[in-house]
Amino acid sequence: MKIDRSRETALNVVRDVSKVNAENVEMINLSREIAELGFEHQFERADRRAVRDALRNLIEVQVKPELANEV
Amino acid sequence: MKFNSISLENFGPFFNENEVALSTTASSPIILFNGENMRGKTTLLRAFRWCLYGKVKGHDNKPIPETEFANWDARDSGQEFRTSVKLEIATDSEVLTVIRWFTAKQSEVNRDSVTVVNQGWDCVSSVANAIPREDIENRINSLLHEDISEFFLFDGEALTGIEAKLRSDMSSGDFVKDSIEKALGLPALTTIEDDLEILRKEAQKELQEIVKVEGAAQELLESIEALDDKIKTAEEQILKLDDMYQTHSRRRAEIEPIIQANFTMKEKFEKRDELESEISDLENRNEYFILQIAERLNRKFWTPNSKKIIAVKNEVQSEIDTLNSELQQFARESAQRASLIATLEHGKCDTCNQMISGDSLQALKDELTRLEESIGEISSKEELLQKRRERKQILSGFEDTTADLEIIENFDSQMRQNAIRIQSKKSELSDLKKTLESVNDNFESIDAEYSVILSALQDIKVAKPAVTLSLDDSRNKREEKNRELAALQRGNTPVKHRISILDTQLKIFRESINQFRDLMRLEVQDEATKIFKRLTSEPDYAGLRINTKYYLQIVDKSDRIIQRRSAGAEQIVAMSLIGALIQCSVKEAPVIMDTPLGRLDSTHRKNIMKWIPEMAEQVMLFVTSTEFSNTTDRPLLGSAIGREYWLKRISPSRTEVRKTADE
Repeated sequence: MKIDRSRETALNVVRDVSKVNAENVEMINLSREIAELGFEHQFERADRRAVRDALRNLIEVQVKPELANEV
Repeated sequence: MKFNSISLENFGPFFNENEVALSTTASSPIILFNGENMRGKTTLLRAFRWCLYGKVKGHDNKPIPETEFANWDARDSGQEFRTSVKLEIATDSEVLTVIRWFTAKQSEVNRDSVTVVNQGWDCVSSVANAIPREDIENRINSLLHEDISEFFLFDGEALTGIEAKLRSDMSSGDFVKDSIEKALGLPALTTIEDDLEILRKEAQKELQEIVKVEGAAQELLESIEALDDKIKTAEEQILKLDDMYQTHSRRRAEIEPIIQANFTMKEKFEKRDELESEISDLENRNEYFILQIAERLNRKFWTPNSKKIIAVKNEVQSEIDTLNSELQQFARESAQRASLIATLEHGKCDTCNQMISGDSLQALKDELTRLEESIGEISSKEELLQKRRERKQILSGFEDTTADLEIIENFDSQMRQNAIRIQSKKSELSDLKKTLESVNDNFESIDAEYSVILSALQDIKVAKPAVTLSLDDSRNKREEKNRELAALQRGNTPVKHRISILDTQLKIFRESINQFRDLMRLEVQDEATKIFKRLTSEPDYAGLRINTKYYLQIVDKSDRIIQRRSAGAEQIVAMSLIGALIQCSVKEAPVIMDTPLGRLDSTHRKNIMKWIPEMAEQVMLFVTSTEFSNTTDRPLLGSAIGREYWLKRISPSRTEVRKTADE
């Protein structure tokens, strides 16, 4: 039996959908990282603050560095 | 994950400490627990649940207070004692030891119960030592979440509950959908979607603040604010509807077993009423018979003796006839006597007129003597005849009542039979009344509540799409306004970029969730079909289908839906769904099955036996001798049995877990 079979299925779905909708490979990778984060914390449903902090960090990395000084 | 061992201390019938090794190998994944009824098989299953989740439900779906798990002998010892269950769980990266316990002593008020003195739940990791109390629940749920544990740790009784849910038109689709989504981990994506949405709102707020600082687009900000309010209201409405749906669903889940049980109870109440009515009918009939008999006897009291009276009448008549005949004979003899006397007086024969000789004379004298003797009895005979005639006269007052007697005898026979039936029915009624003593026969209120719940659920199902549509519309409008707002801000900024990233990811995740939902349904359908085809004994069944409304259907080779399922087919469908959920599940975990085979025929049982070793890497099977045959079932499992135990009865309140080899 395949371990975490449905997790793999879900990640594949996210990958396929992101390939159609994302503009670049970074966004595709970001989708995968977000989905993995979701599975990692799937049973923590009450207090999601830590998960959102991690999510915020993942997204912040993607914000273009050259925009950092713009308002 | 796999269980390495379980230790039961004063838990249920397991007195003192009972440690049971559970580790298995890939080629021998099965652990067999043999035990007859009342030996603690279900308690052993409950020990796993209690240790992991702290909550155990009974067959009536009501929570069992943990104090009920205290061993009776430990309780009655008069000393403070400890009840605990310790599980050693092996995962890929560590070994976790989880122990749930309480110390207690016998209650002074009720000697049959206990008072808990102290309690706790501890978890130690082989790599991280003690795990903080507040993290244990998450750690356990990450191994086997409580929501999906019913598919891994289930008993035969629970299986009937699942069968009932699959049968029910109203709950079938919801149950299958919830089960699939929980087992296959959809919440992992839906909760992250919610998180993305929150971050999106944060970023949007940030952008609005910047634009506000710049003093631009007051009108736009106001319409965004109005849309925010509208979205908030719609979201609250959806939450309220979801909340109501869950509340109603929970109540429906509570009521359904009651309604199911009520069917049986209703039958019993109907049977009680039927018995009471039958008894009353029989008693009425007997009263009627008594009246009829009494009436006949009042009029013709001699009827019970009518046969004797007829016999006596016949006898008297016969005597009268005899006496009459005798009296006629006397009359003839009197005439002879008179003739003889005349002959003897003349000494000559009347006919020939010749003198009678001495010898003949003597003979005539002898004859005369005999006749006179005979005639001498005449007066007594006449007297007797008179008496017999009087008797006949008396008897003639008793008319022939044979026909009445036959009717009375028939009534009497029916009365006796009725009396036996009344006795037997009264005994049955008394047993039934004892069973129904504490049962409330007010079924109407629960039926009415059930129908209100079903209608409310249906209303919510109808109302939610409209609210969702309005929410989507408002969200789209807000996005549009936000884009207009963003356009007012010159150039690309980190906030605008972040919003753009979040928008893209939200779009990806919303679409992924929809696709994953459909994919999960098809995947579970395929897996359930594979299992179903292995388990079913019906060659014409082609498999199972989970339609878009999540109804689980059997289809035949001509793709027709089988509308009526046998009880055996129901169980096979339920087991196929469970098997598919285990196979497709987001997590791999051991399977524990308590007496799952009892209701199956030999072919289904044989098919299940062949499939069990493939269900999971560790399968615990609790069986009784009637559902697991050493001659037919054991060879099917063969070397797949890695360990085997016997739940040995020591006393009514004690069971020991022993290795079968020790027996």
